[in-house]
Amino acid sequence: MEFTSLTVESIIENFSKVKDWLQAIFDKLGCQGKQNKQLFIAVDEIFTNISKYAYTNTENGKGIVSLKAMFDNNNNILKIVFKDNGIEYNPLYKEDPDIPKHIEQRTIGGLGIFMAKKMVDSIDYVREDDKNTLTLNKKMILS
Amino acid sequence: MDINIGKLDSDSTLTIFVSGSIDTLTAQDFESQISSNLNDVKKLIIDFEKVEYVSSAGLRAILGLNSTMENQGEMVIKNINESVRDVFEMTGFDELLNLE
Repeated sequence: MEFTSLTVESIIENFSKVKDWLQAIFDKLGCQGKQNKQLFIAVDEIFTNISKYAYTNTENGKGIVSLKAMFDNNNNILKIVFKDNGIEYNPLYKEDPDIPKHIEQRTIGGLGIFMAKKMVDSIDYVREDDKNTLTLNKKMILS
Repeated sequence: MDINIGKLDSDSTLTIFVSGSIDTLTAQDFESQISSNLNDVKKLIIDFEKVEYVSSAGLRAILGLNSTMENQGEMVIKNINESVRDVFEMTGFDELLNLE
């Protein structure tokens, strides 16, 4: 069941609006603790990725990102769906980073999507209606 | 995110207290505020007791500060919570950083 959505321009500064939106969802559901932080991180990584790369083909590099939250009362799974009209990109195709190599070389590329994957139960991607549609799925514990 | 910068001790140790989240919004500010206070610092202690979580943007900032301090002394991060520890462990940062 969809219960809230948010549409913003794809600029990093708008992550503050996304954070407020997500916190309001947690408050409404009664979710607390570490699981919230994990979802803040996953949403940060996906939103940042879209803001930085989805619209690099447009003149000003910006576009629209829409977020939808859906919560299934039967299994307590919260879905956060991101949609953008940007360049087709499935981040799930990207291989996980080689952590020891990263550490040795002091580099950090590719960690964002890797972290997002680790923070939720699953991520789905489809390209539909010329939109990248990425869904984070996380089972939540309600207090 | 807030940063509270202490005074430089006589043994060139600087302790910095950070609160909030170090994420895509705040990471740059976190790094630049701390970087601008590192003159003559031989040991940088960053107290994470009030840090809620760190995203990859935060890791990038921490990596930058750690590289700076490797050239002039050492950096210690202390009092990390479970969420921050999880992130450090899954990304190998627990091996790179000096954690207390």
